[in-house]
Amino acid sequence: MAVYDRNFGIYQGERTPTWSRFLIIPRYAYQEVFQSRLFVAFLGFCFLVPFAGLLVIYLHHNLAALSFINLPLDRLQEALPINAKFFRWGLEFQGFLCYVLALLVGPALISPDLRNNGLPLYLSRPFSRAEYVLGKTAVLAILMSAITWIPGLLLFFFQSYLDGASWMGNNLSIAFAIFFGSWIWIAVLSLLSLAVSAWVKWKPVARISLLILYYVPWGFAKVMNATQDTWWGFLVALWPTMTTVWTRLFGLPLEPGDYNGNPMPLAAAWLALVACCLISLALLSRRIRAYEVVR
Amino acid sequence: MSETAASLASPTPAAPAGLPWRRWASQAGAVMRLDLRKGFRRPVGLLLLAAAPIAIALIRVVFSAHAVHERADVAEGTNFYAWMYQILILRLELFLAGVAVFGNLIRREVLDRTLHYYFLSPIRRELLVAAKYLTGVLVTFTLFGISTVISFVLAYLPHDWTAVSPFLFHGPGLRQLGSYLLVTFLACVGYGAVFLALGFFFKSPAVPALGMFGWESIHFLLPPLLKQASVIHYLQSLCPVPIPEGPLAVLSDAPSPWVSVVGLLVLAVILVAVSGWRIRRMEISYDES
Repeated sequence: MAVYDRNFGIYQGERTPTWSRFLIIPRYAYQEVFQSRLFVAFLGFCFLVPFAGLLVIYLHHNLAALSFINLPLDRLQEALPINAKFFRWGLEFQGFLCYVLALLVGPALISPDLRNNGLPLYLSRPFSRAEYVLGKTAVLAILMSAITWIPGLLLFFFQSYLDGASWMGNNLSIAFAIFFGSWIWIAVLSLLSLAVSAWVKWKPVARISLLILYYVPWGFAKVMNATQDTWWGFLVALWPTMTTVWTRLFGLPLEPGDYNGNPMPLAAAWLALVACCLISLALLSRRIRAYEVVR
Repeated sequence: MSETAASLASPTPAAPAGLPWRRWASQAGAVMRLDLRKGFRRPVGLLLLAAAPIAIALIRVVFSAHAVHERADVAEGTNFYAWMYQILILRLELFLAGVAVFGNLIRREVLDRTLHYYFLSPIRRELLVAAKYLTGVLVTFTLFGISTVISFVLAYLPHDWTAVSPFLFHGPGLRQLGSYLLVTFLACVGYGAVFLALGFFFKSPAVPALGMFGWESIHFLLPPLLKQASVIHYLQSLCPVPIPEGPLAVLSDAPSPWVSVVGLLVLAVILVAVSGWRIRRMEISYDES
């Protein structure tokens, strides 16, 4: 065939539906993520606490098993009651694992595309910037969901199944807290780690930046609050802010010991989390462009 | 880079007998100069880290009417500084600065695809590692040493000069500042050597750093034997003002100052030697990182 006869034609094959195009990114990202044995081992570890929770709930309703391990029911109910505190503690532990997950996966999501000028390859297709960010967020959000609200709600429904509909009816706020509390943390962590990945060129440096962004403001807040006798320091620290929101979502009182006697107001905690998300989005918006002016 | 290669390869006259110390010193100086120009030209993140304690001390000065209860009580300033130094500077900032600076000393050259320039220069690889390590110690100690001194001064600024002056010049004040500077230096040396060595065993130093951070954080819970396997155990014992570790802390004897200082220096020498041994066997692979 002569060269001048070759023309580009319109793609005639089946198109991916517009709503699900962002899922293409996680599909390919997971192929890379699951190649790491360290990550697979870590993900396995993430299910240990939900599994332990499952066992505890089961033991609460199985006297034969309790007698087998020689543990009276009243002692178990006294030590580990299945209530809002039980689920909140589980969510806190899994929330920390979410941070480690973001540390492992997050920095590699955007920086390689920017470093190798790969963004035009995405954005020259029928794929918007919002879909690109949504796709990258979905990589983290799906993994984090698998270790936070999905096992949390499964445990809740398992307890409801064993204890009856009345328990479920009385504790619906716990399910709400698990679901929304998880999603807030997922959104904050995903956007923050994507913003770091977009602005820091190298993966190891991005990981260290995430470590610093998480721990240094926390230390800053602790010292600041203790020495100035205030709660203002917590505005810059992610973890105390998030635990304040979780505690209130679960309907539990804030323990003064955790906050140097100065618990943070709920509105301030929400404001800090929303500000963190908005700043991360603004940073992403500045960086995710199909072209770059190099001076 | 050609200028650097030329400066590294410059024929400095060797010592007549024994080891060529003068040439090694000159080559190490060239590597350090280059690293300072290239790697630490705009250390914005490190500057922000070092500025955090200064910011807190400054806020305390500005809001001293609310934050300082008794202006004539120097002990209040001493306690404030001890708390801030041990919680923020020592446990968080020096540790994370160690990860950021030393964990990437060699890794950054791989990512920038510039390590082969060093390897092609007529310089011993062990010397390259030692010179880079010294650069890291120089940068971190300069930044955090200055931060330690400024925040120490600011901690006493809201207090009455009539009370502060005897404490500083006729009491333990300056000795305490000296101790804090020594701890800062040893933290840069100790954590630096640990993360330099870890950088040769792990692609990303953040993951082992997180594990080590957890270990150092639960130091107060560890039995006496395990406490000895942490850097913070030796650094904490050198701090002039102890802070309470909480009701759950497992008590143990603090090591003597000499054991702490010599122990940390020996640890640093061993770990830099391990790094030197690793880099001798290192083959460069600029794969996609």
